[in-house]
Amino acid sequence: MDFSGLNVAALLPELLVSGGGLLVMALHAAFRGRQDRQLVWVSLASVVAALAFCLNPLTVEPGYFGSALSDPMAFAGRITVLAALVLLLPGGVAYARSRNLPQAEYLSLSLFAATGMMALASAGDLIVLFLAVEVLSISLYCLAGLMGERESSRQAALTYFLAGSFASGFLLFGMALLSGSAGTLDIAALGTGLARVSGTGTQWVALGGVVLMIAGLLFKVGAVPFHSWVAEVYSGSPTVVTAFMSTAAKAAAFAGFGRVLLALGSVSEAWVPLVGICAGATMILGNFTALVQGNFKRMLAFSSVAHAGYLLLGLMAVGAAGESLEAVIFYLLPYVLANAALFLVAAKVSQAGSGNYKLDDYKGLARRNPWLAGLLALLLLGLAGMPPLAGFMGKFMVFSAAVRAGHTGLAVLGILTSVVAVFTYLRPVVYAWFHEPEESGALNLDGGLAFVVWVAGAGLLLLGLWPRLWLDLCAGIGV
Amino acid sequence: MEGILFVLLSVLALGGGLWVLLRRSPVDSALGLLTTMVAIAGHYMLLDAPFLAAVQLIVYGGAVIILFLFVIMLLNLRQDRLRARRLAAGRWVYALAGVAVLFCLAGIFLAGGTSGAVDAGPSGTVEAFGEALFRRWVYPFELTSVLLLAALVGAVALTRHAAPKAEDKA
Amino acid sequence: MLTLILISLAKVVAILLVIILPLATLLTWVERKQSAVMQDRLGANRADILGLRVWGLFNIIADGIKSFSKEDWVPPFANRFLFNIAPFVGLFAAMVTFAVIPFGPPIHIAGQEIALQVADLNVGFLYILAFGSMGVYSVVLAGWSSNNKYAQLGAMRGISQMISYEVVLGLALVGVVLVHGSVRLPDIVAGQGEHWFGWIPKWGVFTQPLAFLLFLPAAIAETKRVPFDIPEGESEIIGYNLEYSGAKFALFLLGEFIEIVVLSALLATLFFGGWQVPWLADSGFVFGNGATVEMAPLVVTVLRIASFLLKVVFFCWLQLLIRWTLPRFRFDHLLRLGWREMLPLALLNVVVTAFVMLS
Repeated sequence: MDFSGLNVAALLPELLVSGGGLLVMALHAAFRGRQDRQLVWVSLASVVAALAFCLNPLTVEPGYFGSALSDPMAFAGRITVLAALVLLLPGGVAYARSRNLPQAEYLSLSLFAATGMMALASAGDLIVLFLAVEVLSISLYCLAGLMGERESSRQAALTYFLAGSFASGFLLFGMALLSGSAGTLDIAALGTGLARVSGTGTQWVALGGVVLMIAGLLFKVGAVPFHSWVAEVYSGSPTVVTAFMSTAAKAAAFAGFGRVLLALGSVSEAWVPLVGICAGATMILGNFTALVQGNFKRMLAFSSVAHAGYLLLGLMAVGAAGESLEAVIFYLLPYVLANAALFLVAAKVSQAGSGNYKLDDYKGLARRNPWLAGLLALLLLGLAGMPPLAGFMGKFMVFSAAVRAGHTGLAVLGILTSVVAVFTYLRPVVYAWFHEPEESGALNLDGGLAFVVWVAGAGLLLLGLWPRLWLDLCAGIGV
Repeated sequence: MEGILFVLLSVLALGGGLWVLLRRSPVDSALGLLTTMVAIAGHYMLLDAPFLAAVQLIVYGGAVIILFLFVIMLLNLRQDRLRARRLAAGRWVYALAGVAVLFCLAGIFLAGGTSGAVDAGPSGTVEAFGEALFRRWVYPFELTSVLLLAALVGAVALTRHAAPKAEDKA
Repeated sequence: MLTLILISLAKVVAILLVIILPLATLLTWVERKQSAVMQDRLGANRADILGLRVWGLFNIIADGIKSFSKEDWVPPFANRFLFNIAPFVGLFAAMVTFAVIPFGPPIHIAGQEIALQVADLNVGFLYILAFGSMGVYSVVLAGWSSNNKYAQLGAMRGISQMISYEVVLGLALVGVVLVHGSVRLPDIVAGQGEHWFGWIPKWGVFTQPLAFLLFLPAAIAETKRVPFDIPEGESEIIGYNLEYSGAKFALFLLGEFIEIVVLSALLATLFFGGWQVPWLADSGFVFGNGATVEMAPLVVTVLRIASFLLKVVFFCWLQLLIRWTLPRFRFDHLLRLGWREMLPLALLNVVVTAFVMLS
C-alpha cells in the first residue's frame, strides 16, 4: 500500500497522547485497577514525550494531505495544551484520589481530550476541526460528570452537554454552508474560494455559514451572549476538570478558530463587527460579574469569560488588518499557566477551609503559608495584567494589535475593564495578606502542588521579562 | 422517474420530521424519525451513493432508532402517562423563531441558487468510498475512533456509581 | 427497459414461488417431523384427505386453515396500526434480503446475459446487514403495540439480543469480504470457485473458519430460535408476540421459517461456495490430477443451481437439528457470550485476516 503523502510524524504528538490514553485504559484493565496509582506516570510520560517532540519536531511538513498542519500556531497550541496537562495531571490525580473519583478514567479522558485539543490547534481542514472539537467536548462532558454522586457535578455535565451539542449543531451547519459555498474543506483555501463567489448569490450562503460558525465558536469559548452555561459548568465540575476546561480547551479553541478567521480575512467586514460586539460585551460582563463573586471558583469562572473577551479582540485584529496571530498565541500561555495553578490552589485552600471555595478561606493565608500567599498574589496579578508579569505583555500585545487594526474604542474598553479586573484579583490577595486568619495552623503544600505553583509563577515572570522567548520558540519550530 | 421519486422521498422525509414533532407518543415520534432516515437513505440512492444509503439504514435504522425505542420502553414512556405539557403562549414564540430561521435559510439558499460549487467527486460506490476514506481522509477517520473511544470510556465512567475501590482491599 | 423490468419480476416470482415459500411451508412440517424423530414420536400424521395421509404432509394445509379461521383478535388499548403491520415488517425484512443472493451462475438467453440474482448491488453485503437489521422492528413494534407488559419485556429482550449479535454478525462477514476483496456477493461466490492444490475448494468455511463459527450462532440468534429464543420463550416465559392470534400469529411463524431459508442461503453463499460445485468449471469437471470431464453448458448450469438448492436444504435441516438439540441460554449468559466472547474473537478474526491479506 502507498503511504506517501501521509507523513505520520506530523501527527506524532496526537498519536503519543492518545496512545497514552489507550495504554492507561489497557493497564487499568490488565491490573484490574490495583495499580491505578502508577497510571499517572504513564500519562505523564506520554505527555512529556509529546512535549519533547513539539519542542524538537522530526518534521515540519504538514501531514495527512494537509489535514495536520505544522505551522507555529499548531505547535504553540499543542505546547500550551501539553503544558497545562503537565501542570494539571499530578494535582488532578491527587484530587481524584482524595475525592474517590475513578483515576484511570480521569487520566484517559484527559488524554483523549488533549488529543482533541491538539488536533484542533493543528487542524488543516474543516472536517478535522469539527471532529477535534467533538473529541475534546465529549471527553470534557464526561469529565465534568465524574463526581457523579454530587448533584452539582451531574448538573454541570448535563448543562455542558446540552449547551455543547447545541453549539456543535451551529458549528457543523455553518461549516457545511461555508465549505459548500467556498467549494473546499481546506481551511487555508477558504479565503480564495470565497473570493471566487463574491458578488454572486452564493456569497450570502457563505455569510450565513460564517455567522453560524462564529456563533458555535462563541458558545464553545463561553463568550457573551452564549456564556450562560459557564458559571454552572465551571463551578459544578470537579475543580481539576474546571481548570482543564478553562485553560487547555480554551487555548485550543482559540488556536483552531484563529486559523479559520485568519483564512476568512477577505470577508472580514462580515464578521468583525459581530465579533467586536460580542468581545466588548464579554469583557464588560465577565469582569463585572467576576467582581461581585464571593466564591473563588466562580470568580475564576467569570474571569475566564472576561479573558475570552480579550482573546476575541485579538482575533478581530487578525481578521481585519492581516495581523498575525502572535498576540493571541502569546496571550494564551501565561493565561493557561496562571489559571491552571490557581484552580489547583483553590482546590487545596478550599479543602483546608470551608470546602466550598469561599473567598473567606483566603483570609490570613500569609500567616499560614507566606510562600503560597506570595505566589497566589503573583499568579492573580499575572492574570490581572500587572507588569512585569507575562499577563501584562499579553494584554499589551492584544490591545496594540487591536489599535493597529483600527479598533481603538474596543482597546480602550479592554483597558478600562482590565482596571476592574485588577480589583477582582486583588481581593483574595488583600484577604491573604491583610486579614486575620479564621483558622490557625500552617497550610502545607504537597510536592506536586508546590511544583505547579512554582513553575507557573516562574513562567509568568520569565515570559513577562522575555516575551520573545516564547514567540521565537514557536516561530523557530514551525514553518 | 427520478423526479417523482425525489418528490416522494422528500415528502416522506419532511412528513416524518413533522410526525416527530406533532405526535405526543414517544414511540410514534421515533417511528417518524425512522421514516425520515429511510427516506434520506433513498435520497442517497438517487444521488448514486449506495454505500452511504446502506450505512444510513444500518446505523440509523438498525441501531440508533432501535436504541431510542429501547430507552423509551425501558422508561416505559406511554403516552397516557406523559403529562400533557403545554407550552401555552411560549410555543408561539418558538414557532415564530423556527419560521424566522426557516425564512432566513430559504432566503439564503434562494439567493445562492443552485451554484454547484462543490465537486461531488467519484460515485459513491464502496470502492470509491473506501479509497477516499482510507487514503485522503484517514486522519479524520482515526480521529473519529478516538471520539468513540472517549465516549465509551466516559459512558462507563459516568454510569459506574460509587465503584468499590480495589486498592482499599488490596 | 421493459424487458429488464420483466426479467426482474420473473426472477422475484421465481425466487418466491420456487425457493422461499415452498421451502418455508415445507419446513413447518419438517420441523414437526424432525422433532418427532428426535423425541422418538410419530409426529404430525393425522391430517388425511379421503384416507390419504402422505406422511402427514396434509398437516401443512390443516395448519393453514386452522390459523386463518381463528379469531383475529386485537387487544384493547393496543395501537391497531402498529399491531397489524408488525408481522409484515418481519416477513418483508426477511424476504428482501434474498434479493442480493445469487442462486446460480449468469445464464445466456437470446444473446442476453441474465444474472440469476434479483439485484446485483454494489453494496451487496451491506444490503444484507441493512435489511437484516430491519427485522428487529417486527419484534419492537409487536411488543410495544400489544400494550402488554409481558410482550413489552419480550420485545426488550429481543432488542438487546438482536442488536448485540448483529455486531458479531457484521464483523464476521467483514473477514469474508476481506478475503475476496469485494462486497458484491457474485464476486464472493466466484472467488470460492478456486481450489488449493486443485483439490480443496476455497470455500469460505476453509478460508474463514472462525468467521463461520461466529456467523452461525450469531445468525441463529437473529432468527430468535432455540437456543436463542429468549425474546419469545414460547415454552414458559412468553414473549413479544403473545397477544397475537390467528393469521397474524401464523405470519410470525412463517417469518421465522423464511428467516431459516434466507439464513441457509446466506450460509451457502458466503461459506459453502454458493452455486459452485467443487471442481466444476464452466467446461465441466476439472480435477486436481488433470483429469477432466467435458459437459454441456446447460448441464453445468443445472448442476450449479441444484448444488445451491441442495446446500440451502441441507442448512435448513441443520438448523432444525440444532433447534431440537440444544437447551435455551440464560439471558445473562447470552449477552456475555455475545459481547465478551464472540465479539473479541470476531475482532481478532478481522485483524488477523487483514494482516494475512496484506502480507
